[in-house]
Amino acid sequence: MIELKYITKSYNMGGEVIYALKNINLKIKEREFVAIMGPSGSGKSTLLNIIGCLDRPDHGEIYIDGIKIKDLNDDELTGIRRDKIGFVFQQFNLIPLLNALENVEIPLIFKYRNTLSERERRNRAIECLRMAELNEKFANHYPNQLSGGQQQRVSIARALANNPPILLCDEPTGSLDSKTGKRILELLKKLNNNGKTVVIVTHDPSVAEYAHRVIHLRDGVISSISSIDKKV
Amino acid sequence: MMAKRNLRRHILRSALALLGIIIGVMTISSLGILGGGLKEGISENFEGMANLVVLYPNPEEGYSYFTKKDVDMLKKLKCIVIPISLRTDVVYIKEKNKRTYAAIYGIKKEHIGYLNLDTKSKLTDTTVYVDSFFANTHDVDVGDRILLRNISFRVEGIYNSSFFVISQNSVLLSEKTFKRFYGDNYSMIVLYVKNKGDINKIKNETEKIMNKKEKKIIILSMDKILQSINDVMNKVSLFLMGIGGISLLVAGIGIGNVMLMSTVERTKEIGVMKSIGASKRDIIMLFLYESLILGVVGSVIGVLLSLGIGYLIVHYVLNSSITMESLIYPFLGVLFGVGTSIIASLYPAYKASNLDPIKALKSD
Ligand SMILES: Nc1ncnc2c1ncn2[C@@H]1O[C@H](COP(=O)(O)OP(=O)(O)O)[C@@H](O)[C@H]1O
Ligand SMILES: [Mg+2]
Repeated sequence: MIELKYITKSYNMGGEVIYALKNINLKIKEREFVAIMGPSGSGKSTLLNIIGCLDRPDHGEIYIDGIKIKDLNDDELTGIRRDKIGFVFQQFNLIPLLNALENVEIPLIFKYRNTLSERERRNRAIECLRMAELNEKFANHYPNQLSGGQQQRVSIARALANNPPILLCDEPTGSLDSKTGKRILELLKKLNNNGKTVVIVTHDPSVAEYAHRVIHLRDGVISSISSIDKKV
Repeated sequence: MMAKRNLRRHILRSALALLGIIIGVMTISSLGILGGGLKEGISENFEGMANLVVLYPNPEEGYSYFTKKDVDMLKKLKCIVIPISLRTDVVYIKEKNKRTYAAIYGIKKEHIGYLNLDTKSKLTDTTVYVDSFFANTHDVDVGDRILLRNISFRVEGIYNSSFFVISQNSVLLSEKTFKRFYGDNYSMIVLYVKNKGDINKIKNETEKIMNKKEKKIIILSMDKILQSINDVMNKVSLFLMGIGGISLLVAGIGIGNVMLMSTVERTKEIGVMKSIGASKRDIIMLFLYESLILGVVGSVIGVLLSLGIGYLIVHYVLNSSITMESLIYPFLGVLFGVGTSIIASLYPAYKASNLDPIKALKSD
């Protein structure tokens, strides 16, 4: 599903070169639930952004669904982001002007423009909110009227909108209390059980309960991979 | 959907940008209408004159009037020859018991219709016409009586004087009456040429007939004068619209500014949209759509206002009417208004679409 080969990413900070990722090799299988852990600044976000085609590595190659990302132009990259990947952020990053339902409709608009009728788009968005287990009565609420957990559910619903095979979550529970965070992790696990490949960056050690593998990063290098014996 | 709400979110700023567009479009459009109205007002006054060629005796060669013989010679031409006599004399206004001077014109009754005097010809040998200036100054109405050389005439009508032919502060008599008082000579001859295209030909032939040996007469044709008036009016219109253009430019800078501020403020939002699958094109379209809304709304408001203002000014100040032709200016105004707002937002839109999504996501 996802394959990284010799990925290196460096930043030039005032003449000093900082390696965010060094020679990363990683394969993630379809329907796998992978957690990435590590101290702050160890390169977790950078890794996730590269998998999500938001960022390009300095060296190395990424394959998503067998597609060599290096060969794609900007538009094709946009297409991969839109169709294959759903992003979930720590800060939810909902658009404050739009209510929950409309936030979920946005990726559908980017994908289908006007070829999808307004009603059908709405129905799909409602379906996604249901999958994210947000009560339908919140559909018309604006982000600032929702709790953190509810907002994260909207953002997961948004990630699901175009039915991508991969969900990339950067500290999705980082802004939530532990109880709410646990619920979100349970939801992600459920989605994983229903067929999504999930890659999640987190500090929450309890993620081990859900993940097939935990990848530990340190200073841009994979320091260890712990497989948890579960069937994918 | 988002565009509208974004505009609403920054309602004050959007309103300012909108105001710029409104003012710009309004200026272009109403100045255009105004220019058109001005032109129309002037050419309404001159329109009927375009068919006229006016002949004056040339005083430099010692000629101060035309004779019956001159008139007869001109009758060979394919046009209507209108001899006009002129004197200045004392006029006594009976009702007001007032004595004043006026230009006294003599003209054949049947010729009045050709001179663009804005009146119906019902002149008889015992009635006179006075021009509106004379009527206003001396408070004279139709039906009043005035005395010329001690003979009483009824004021039968009031006309508007026409440039170069019948001056202001004038009284019009029938040719017969005029002859009784002042004799047989003509001060000028007006040629009415039915087809404007023949004016040059008529002028050349007149030249041949009258100015054979010496330059006996001066020939003045109205079409030339009208042409230069039109030229001036076009320049005035252009100038007025230039002012409108400048205000649109300012409006454009305003919109560009709004959009640029918007890109900076929405950096994070743009990053999010890119990460959930927005292409560069999507981002550009979002921004263009926002400014399109500003442009269209602003332009429409501007045009409506300008139509109102234009109508008031043209109707009440210039005393003429809005022509179909000048309705092109509101149209131009909308075109420029919408165009300006789109062009002004191109750069901000381009800039937004090229934001690095990761940096954009990190920003706050
Ligand atoms: N845009 C950037 N410019 C410079 N350095 C960066 C940039 N993004 C990340 N880094 C550096 O790369 C390293 C890894 O960052 P990141 O992947 O965000 O870590 P994590 O998500 O594990 O906290 C850090 O040292 C960070 O300072
Ligand atoms: Mg991070």
